[in-house]
Amino acid sequence: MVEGVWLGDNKNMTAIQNIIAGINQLKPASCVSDKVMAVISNPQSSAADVVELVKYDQSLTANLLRLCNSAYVGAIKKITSIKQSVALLGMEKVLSLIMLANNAENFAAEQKGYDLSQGDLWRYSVSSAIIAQELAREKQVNNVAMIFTAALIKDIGKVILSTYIADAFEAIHSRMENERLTFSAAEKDVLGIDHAELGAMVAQQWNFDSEMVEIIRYHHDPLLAPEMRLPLCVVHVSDCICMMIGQGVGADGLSYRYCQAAADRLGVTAVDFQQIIVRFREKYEGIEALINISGGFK
Amino acid sequence: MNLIVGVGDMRVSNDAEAVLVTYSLGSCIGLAVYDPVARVGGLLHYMLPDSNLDKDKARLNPYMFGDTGIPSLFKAAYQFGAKKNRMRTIVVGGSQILDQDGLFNIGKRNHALLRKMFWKNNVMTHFEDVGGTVNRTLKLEVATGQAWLKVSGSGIIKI
Repeated sequence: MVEGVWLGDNKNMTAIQNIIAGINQLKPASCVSDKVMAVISNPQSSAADVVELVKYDQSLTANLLRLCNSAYVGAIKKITSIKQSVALLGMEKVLSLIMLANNAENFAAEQKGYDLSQGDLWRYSVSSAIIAQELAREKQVNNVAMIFTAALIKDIGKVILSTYIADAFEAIHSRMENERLTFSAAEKDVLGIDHAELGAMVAQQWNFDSEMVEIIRYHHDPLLAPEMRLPLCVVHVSDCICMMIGQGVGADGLSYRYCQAAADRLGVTAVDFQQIIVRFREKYEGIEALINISGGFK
Repeated sequence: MNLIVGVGDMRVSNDAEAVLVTYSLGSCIGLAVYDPVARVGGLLHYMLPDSNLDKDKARLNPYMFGDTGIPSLFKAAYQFGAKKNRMRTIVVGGSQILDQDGLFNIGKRNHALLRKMFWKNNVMTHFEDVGGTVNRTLKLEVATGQAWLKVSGSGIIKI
């Protein structure tokens, strides 16, 4: 049950309720997703739990093995079973790959309202998740698989809002120009809800844990979160870096605010920022392959 | 035939069939050059201004950085018979996230570096669309030198 907990002063509740109803049009993250989240959040989880997650889903297993053997992952030998994947790659990496294999479908399509061609939103989401994973490791922030997943699905609200944005784009654009609003603020102003709010509702409906819901909700505005925790800071800063690199960015462009306090909390310097961009470039071909394999584009 | 120039990459061609294209310019700069006599076109997509950040990596891929990528682009075009005094240049990109200031101002720094290098080397900019919060795509047709710019949320314009 979705609750309108973030909807405060909205003028047109019916229109907003219609948008929220769109959550049910999404392909539900298979029941694997919430089980993966349970394994991620339990420090006692073992390789056997990971095997258990996917063993009854043949297509997920096949997708997962293809990802495990992709150039980006760089396994030292061919991986032929899930058990072997955990032994060779480690549980954290395999859990991230399961989320990758399991989420592409919702993100892969064209999102006309946001001027995103087929594959663009997935390209952006995977790039952002990889940057978040790297930044979390570098700054020794715990729970990397959860951070990866949050960065991967944080824009799920766009998949629903895209249809409405197409009609409202001119109004949103003029709010941004005339009132110097961010895209999110203009989106909220015109439609009554923004993609981060809607995304948090999706995550809640899919039974993701409260920290994950909070990261999705506040990924553009970490200062508004009840508590600005490190994983939220990682996802926000990575999102900004990804926007600057520009992979799969749509009509909203870079029209969001950068939160210096989040970067400061992580201790990210100007040099860190640039080095992350350099490392992304070094792995670019592998990342493209990962995007194409997981998205079913090649 | 589209020849895609990825992030931190460069292509130069005199193939009359080729269209050079680079997508997704956020804070990065897309620099296109064209010599209408030699009919040579080149396109560079650099991500960061200064290779002093990591000299070794800049040696492996000079196109990531403006200070190594820009000379590489001109040199590669000269090898195809282009001459500096005939070359037209198009500069797009260098956007910024809102509230990004000081050290993290990569879009502005990317553009400032280009202006400085052009000024020092006496190179003119013939078309420029830089800054703001938009995402850009740039296309250059090698046979004619015709270029197109797509700005996120707006249409495509002929340059």
